[in-house]
Amino acid sequence: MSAQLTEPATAPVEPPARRPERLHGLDLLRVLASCLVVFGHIAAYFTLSHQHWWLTDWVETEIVGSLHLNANLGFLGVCTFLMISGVVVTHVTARESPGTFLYRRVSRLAPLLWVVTPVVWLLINLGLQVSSTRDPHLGFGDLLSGMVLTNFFQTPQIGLVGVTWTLWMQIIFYCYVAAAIPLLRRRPWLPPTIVAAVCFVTILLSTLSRNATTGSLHMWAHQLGQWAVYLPVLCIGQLISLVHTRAVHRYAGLAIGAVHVLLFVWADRIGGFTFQGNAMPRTLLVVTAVLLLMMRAKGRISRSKVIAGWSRRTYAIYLVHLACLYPLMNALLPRVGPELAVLAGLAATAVVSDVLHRFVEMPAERFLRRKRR
Amino acid sequence: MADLDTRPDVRTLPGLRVVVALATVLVLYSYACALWLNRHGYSPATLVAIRDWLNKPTGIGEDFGVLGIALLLLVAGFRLAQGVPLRRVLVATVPVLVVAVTASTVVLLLGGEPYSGPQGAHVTPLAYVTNLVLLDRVAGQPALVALTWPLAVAALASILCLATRRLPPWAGLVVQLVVLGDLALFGASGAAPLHQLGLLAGFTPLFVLGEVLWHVRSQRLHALAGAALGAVAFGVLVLTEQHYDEWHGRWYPVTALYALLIVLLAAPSGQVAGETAVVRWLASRALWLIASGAVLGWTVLGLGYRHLPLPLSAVAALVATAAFAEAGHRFVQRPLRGAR
Repeated sequence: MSAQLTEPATAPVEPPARRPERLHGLDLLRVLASCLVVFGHIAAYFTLSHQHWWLTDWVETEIVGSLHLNANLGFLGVCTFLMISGVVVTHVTARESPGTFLYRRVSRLAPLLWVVTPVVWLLINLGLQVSSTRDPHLGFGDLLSGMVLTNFFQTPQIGLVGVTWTLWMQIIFYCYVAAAIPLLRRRPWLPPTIVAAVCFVTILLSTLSRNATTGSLHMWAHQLGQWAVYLPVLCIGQLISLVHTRAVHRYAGLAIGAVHVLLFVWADRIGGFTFQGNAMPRTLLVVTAVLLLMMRAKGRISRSKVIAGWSRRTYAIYLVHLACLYPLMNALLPRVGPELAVLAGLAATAVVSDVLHRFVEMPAERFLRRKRR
Repeated sequence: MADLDTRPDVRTLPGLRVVVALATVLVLYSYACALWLNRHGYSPATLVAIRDWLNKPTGIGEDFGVLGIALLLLVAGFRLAQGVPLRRVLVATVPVLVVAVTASTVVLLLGGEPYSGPQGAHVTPLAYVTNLVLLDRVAGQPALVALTWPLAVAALASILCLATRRLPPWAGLVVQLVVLGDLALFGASGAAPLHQLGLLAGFTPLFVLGEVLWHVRSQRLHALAGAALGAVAFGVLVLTEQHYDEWHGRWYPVTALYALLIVLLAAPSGQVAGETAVVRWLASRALWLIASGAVLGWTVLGLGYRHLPLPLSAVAALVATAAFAEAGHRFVQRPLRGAR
């Protein structure tokens, strides 16, 4: 008897999983997010130095005020970057083994970080302001800890490249995704569900430990709680990717995503985990909706070479913009006024990030990928 | 052979059907449930939890009621720009308005408690007539059905939309926004009728945004031009919030943003959900359900809660609302829509 006769005649047909495609809309969204991050830090500069600039004042009054977002558009850019990361990183798991996945992620992050951190260390030791706070003179040990991002666990905390606090969330997410790749291919709904449960427990324990612990245990409990609060942002991106590729049914994705949103709301209600303002859940929801819309964008602008090129440089922009902007603005603002000072800072950011992308980031990535082959 | 049928395609997008269904549920939840409960001294734990976990973090006030209205205005603008015949629009709205206002008048005269503004509004012939023509607020009369103001907003916006129909889309939208923005601006410090008109005009940008969405979708307007006009529409909303005390603390621009994002996401989607029986039923009877909830739902709840446990009264009110809406749709709207 033929094996075909034993097959059920009406086997249910699962919709085929969609092949990962280039999401041009996310390039445009990355560009917008980089603008938001840079703008936010420019606005923060004027706020911290008790100065006014018509553009940041206007944005604060008309946009932040009327849409009740965080001051200086805080968290809007970071949330976008984290969520895009969740989407993109999940997209590539279909074709990479856990080891290759981790290797490629680290090879993207580390080289530029290791070039920028010593430069910023030098600038700080030359007395220049490269973040919202002026770090004191830093030793060689501080440099080494900054290169591996352990500066955030020092007491007192050293900022160094201040924006790199978000890289910890990325690294934890990469480790989780690498470990979950086998499960993502068999039961893709399960890993983000497990993460939701883990985040819930972590936030709960972190909250309960606030008055029950001291010293480094207290610091670590708080740090873990912070990571657990931001991980849902990446997981929401992951779920969007899984639903987009039809690995997870849209209603299942919606349900698990809703759990992650509620976790975020819960942590916001508890308070003390985030520091960007009291519009965190609103920002998360708006970013989620905009990202879903941009997943469909395929127009001329999102496909343009300018956007693609800019998008590839957003990591470099992210790392260097403070070190380019703040010293120049400090030096030029009293002499030429805010418009020219800001323009000079932006131009320096563009040039430096382009140079770093061309001569550090891409060569390093190509070299490391060739070694892995 | 080229297709010579130049009639516009006015079929409802399935995704927009989902939006209308969602909006109906939100409006009924807000005004026929949450508001009624609060006005009668109830504050159930579920309601408080929804406010604490959803309304406050998202910034959407009034128990999602204004979000529902914003969604309906967006869809209304979209549909009118799409080319829905004026006759069909009038058939969908005028009978509901007449029946709702008349029913509310009768209930008030009999001592009942529909959702009116103010509560237990005093009925006079002038109040009745001005309510029928949606001029109650402008004329300083009580609103016999407190939920007719969105119809007044839509009527105001529709008049301008139809008046500018012969202009190129971008020009028509610019004219509408300028006129409505001026109304909102001058109404802020104007006499009471102009002030009320300005308040209504403040919500019309939602209708205009719906028109913009249609024109961009049908490629009669470039996406960038649409974005610019959308920004101007939001500017009018922000202007209204800044100049009218009635809008302070309501965060209507936040709600408008959510409404816009929901419609943008829903419009190209909803092929499955939009064809389900529940969604079709809710969407096709949306105005009847809202009117019915405001008049009959409130009245039944008001009568019932004094004599029955509240959950039973709520079920009775829900059934009465649904039944009245179904009756209105079947015996009033459908025959009128089929009549030639």
